[in-house]
Amino acid sequence: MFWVELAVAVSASLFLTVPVFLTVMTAFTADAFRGVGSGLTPDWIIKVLDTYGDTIFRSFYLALAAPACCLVLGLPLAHALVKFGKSKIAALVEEALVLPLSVPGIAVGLGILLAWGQVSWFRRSWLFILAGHVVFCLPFMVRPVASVLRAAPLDDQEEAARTMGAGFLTRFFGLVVPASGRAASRAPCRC
Amino acid sequence: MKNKTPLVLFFAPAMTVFAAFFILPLGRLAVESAGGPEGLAIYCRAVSNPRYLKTLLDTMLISVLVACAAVTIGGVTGLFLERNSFRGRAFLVALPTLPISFPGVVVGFMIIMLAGRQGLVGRLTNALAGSRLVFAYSAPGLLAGYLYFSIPRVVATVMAAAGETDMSLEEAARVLGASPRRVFLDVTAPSLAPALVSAGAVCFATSVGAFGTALTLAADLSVLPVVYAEFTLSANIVAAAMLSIVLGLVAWAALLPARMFAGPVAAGGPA
Repeated sequence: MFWVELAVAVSASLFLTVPVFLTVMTAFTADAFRGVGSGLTPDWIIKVLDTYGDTIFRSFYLALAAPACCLVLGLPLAHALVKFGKSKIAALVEEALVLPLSVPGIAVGLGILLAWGQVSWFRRSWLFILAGHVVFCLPFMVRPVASVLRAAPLDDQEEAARTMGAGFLTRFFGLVVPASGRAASRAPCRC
Repeated sequence: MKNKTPLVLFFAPAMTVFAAFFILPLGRLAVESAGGPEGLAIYCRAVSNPRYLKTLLDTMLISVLVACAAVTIGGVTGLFLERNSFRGRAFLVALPTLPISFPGVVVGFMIIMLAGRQGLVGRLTNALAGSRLVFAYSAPGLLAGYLYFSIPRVVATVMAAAGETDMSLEEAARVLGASPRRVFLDVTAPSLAPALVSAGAVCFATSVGAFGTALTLAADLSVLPVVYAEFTLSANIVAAAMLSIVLGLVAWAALLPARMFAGPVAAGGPA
């Protein structure tokens, strides 16, 4: 039994990784149709960076901007969700937030195009793409942070902070933000 | 809590963005899909037109097959990796999680590297049997592509679930004289069932809407994403909007069991 299972696990892993190595090899091969025998060269990578460098960097900006937006929007929301606890609104909001994950991205994309395509400055800017990404990334930020905040002993800490005169924002930045730090910092990996 | 006003303000920014870029767009889709000359009757055409119906059924069939195969392969792999310790385990655990973040188009390209005209399988069969086996651009290739992004998800879900199950139950069953098969059927499988069901549902829903992979690979096969691309390229917005709503409903319904068992963040796939 052990060997059968090992065989399945190894073949699954090979199926998933061999194409990746093939791709990397091909990227450095001088002539892909003749194979590695034709020699190795970084020319193709340089060529791609030359031609599409701008696009690649724009993707990087986008990949950084989306989690940043999620952080700004998501942390307060997660805090509010936890505070509202078991109320119907909180449950509804939490349920609604994950809907974008179960609707195919291209459907939401077309919807955004239909709803906002007429606003031409927005349509032409990269913020247009960012908006779509943020909607998809928000649940990855809100849910882990909310579950961490639920488990943390925040109520007592906030009570203590309040009796000592800390205002609402002081409590948020002094207690809630640090408490959600780890969960929030892991979210960008999933966005 | 006495004063909830600031908390309501905490809701506002995120919910405004969410409403503007998700709820409003979906509403526009719904309105648009019924706004053609046929009105709501266009939804009937999705079922009455033989080509669309065949596409719809093919897509469902492929997605079900992928979900079953991925749950089997990924289930065995995940359980094996979680329960056994041997040399090289850490390495083997790291491998299946590698492609988990690949976009759909890249997944399609991986299958072309594997089974395309210049692919590894083709070159191997050419060397061994003298004829090239090329299946990247047909149904098996599409299946392989969908499996490629499904298996890592199942492995991750099953490993997490198997790590949390109570090993003492299996221990007890073994001590009481149950055969390994009975232990698996009566103890291990039921305890993993929720994870398997939810992983399978996620795979199904992801496969139904896997645009990048389908558009890269489906050369002589019509699945929903291909028809969809036809609509958007020919600016047939009404039909595309209708199909979006159908896709959304199918994926949402398929994910219901997953959300009940595992919580929603397990969902989401390559666009």
